Amino acid sequence: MLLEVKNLKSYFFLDEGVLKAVDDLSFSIAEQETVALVGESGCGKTIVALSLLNLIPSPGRIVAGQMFFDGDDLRAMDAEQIRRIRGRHIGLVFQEPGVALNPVYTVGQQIADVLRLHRALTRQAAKVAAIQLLGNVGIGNPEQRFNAYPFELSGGMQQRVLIATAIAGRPKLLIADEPTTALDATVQAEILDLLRYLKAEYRMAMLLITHDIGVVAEMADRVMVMYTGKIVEVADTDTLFRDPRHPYTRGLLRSAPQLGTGRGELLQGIPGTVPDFMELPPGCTFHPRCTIAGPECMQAFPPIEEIASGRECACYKVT
Amino acid sequence: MARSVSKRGLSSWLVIIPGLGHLALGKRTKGAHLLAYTVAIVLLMTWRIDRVMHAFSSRAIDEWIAVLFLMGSLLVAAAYSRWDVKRLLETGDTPVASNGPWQIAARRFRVNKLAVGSVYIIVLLYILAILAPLVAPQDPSMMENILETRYLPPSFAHLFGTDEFGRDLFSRALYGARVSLSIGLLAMLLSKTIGTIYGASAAYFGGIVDSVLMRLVDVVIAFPIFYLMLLLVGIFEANILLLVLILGLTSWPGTARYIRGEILSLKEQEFAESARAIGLPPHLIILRHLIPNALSPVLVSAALSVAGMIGAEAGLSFLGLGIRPPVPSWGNMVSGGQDALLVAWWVAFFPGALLTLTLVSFSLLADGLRDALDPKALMRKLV
Repeated sequence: MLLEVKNLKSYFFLDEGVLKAVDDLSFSIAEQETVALVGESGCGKTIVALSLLNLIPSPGRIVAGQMFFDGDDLRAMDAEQIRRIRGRHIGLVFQEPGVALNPVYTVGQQIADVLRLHRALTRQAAKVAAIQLLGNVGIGNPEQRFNAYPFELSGGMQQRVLIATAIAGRPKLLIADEPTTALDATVQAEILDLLRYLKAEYRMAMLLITHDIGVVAEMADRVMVMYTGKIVEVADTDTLFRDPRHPYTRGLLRSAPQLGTGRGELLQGIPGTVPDFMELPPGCTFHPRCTIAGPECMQAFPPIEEIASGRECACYKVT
Repeated sequence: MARSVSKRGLSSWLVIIPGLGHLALGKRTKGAHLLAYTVAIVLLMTWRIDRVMHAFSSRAIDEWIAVLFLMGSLLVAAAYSRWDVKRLLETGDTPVASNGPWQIAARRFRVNKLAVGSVYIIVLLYILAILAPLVAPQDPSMMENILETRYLPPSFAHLFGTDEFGRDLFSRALYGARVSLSIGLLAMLLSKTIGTIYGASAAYFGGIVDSVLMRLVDVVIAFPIFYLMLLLVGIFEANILLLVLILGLTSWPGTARYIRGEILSLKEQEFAESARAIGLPPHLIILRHLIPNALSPVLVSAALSVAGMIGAEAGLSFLGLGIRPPVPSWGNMVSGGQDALLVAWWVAFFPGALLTLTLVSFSLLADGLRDALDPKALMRKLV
């Protein structure tokens, strides 16, 4: 396994109390595998990504858990060691390319910076490599674009540049945090194509964080569904789409528009809203919105259990 | 037209003299600047050839510096001119229109005539200060026959007149510029460098580091600086270094506070987080990503600060606490002239006027910088 996370807990210690943004999460990613982490906005997906790189903003921190990357214990590392992991072994693509690039440097310089840092290239060599990388992420006229400032590029191009900075260190794992959310639909498809191409080209594994079920279907080998800081279902992408088990997953799939949905047919939403992290319902946090909840669901959160080979689900009603 | 100038015809002899190549290619402004500068230097060298030669056998370091500066800048002008003409010929004069924030600011700055004019004045004053040993008509502390030469009004022989000891005031003003201008620049650099790095570190590392560092700033701000200056100047013999240290080391807290505030908000922005995610070490994140984004107001205040420092030095010297005569500084020259104000107005007038000119120039420069760097106007279309 390239990445193994066991019982990860990342909490935020606020004045009002403890916010359990990531609560007892376990998962693993194999080499060159694409795993999607799906859930509604605000369910803790991004905090999982930041936990891996120890980048959680204060007042949050990792409270417990183990994380092994390529056999190395990430939690045992000091600040300097974890810094060497970032960008070099684990790349991170942010959601909003417009604000994730530094406005006062040309995009070329920002890529060259990473190259010089992680690949110990000279200034000249880094420039050549950066131009090549710009071409590689599908930017036309890379020599000229090298000198462009971020605000001179379109959103899609900015995202390509951001991806280039993330892969410049040739990481083994690329975390893409909602990489297409801020983009137009047509550009989304291009970026997804690009990510697929780069993943194969650089032999990377990918953790794809998204709330877009369509993106999952297109990209992922395996899917993890997350709700209020916990993983509630894990399955192969095909299996999950064919046969979702957890009532939340079913709700998610039902609420996504599909080709063939007739005009005038209503999409079915999940009733209720995502609960406030500070006032989580007792027991299974999904029970107030669940159509099949029984009395046992109000007692304790169901443990996640293997229900078939390669399938896990956290629900008392699913066996 | 410009492009039809044959390559060989140009590179053979025209470009040996800086500026001619540019003029031939139709680059009027650049060519005129380079040519004027070269001609001025050559004229100065031929006019003062005896002193230039003397500098080689002299042990006075300031003469050396002046001659080195003179020849160095001639070489730089020639080398730059050659390189630029070559580039123009090769690329066919397609200007690389870059739209970086700094380039946009530069373009906006250039439109502001007052600010550009003040830059010319400031540069000229600094060059004159460096070249003082070559330009000054006399030794600034030379007294000939006091009875004959004291309190002579301005004339061609003595542009600014002479003072009570019969010393040439023009020469003294040039040498005084060295003191005033270098103190202003160096103290500003010291103050802004300390303030920027200090404030940025406090903000970036946050928590207890921030608290401790900022309490120290409070202490420095609360300290009665003026009395500290009086004390230090009283204990030590005031010289340029001491004044730079005093002025620089007491004026950084404002910058530190400002930068800290800026960095606190900048470091929460996503590009800072993305710099961390890339694995950049903290000092590079601060230096390359945070500070440049907070720098433009510091530039404006730096220009104002030079004026402030020069004014402070003049004030101290005026009170007799700064640079002491016979070493001239604009401040002690004004002070020396005040007794004779009614009989010889020129003694205090010229250094005072130079002081005013310098301070106004820096203020106008600061104004121009502020307008050019205004982020709200950054995207406005300009030529």
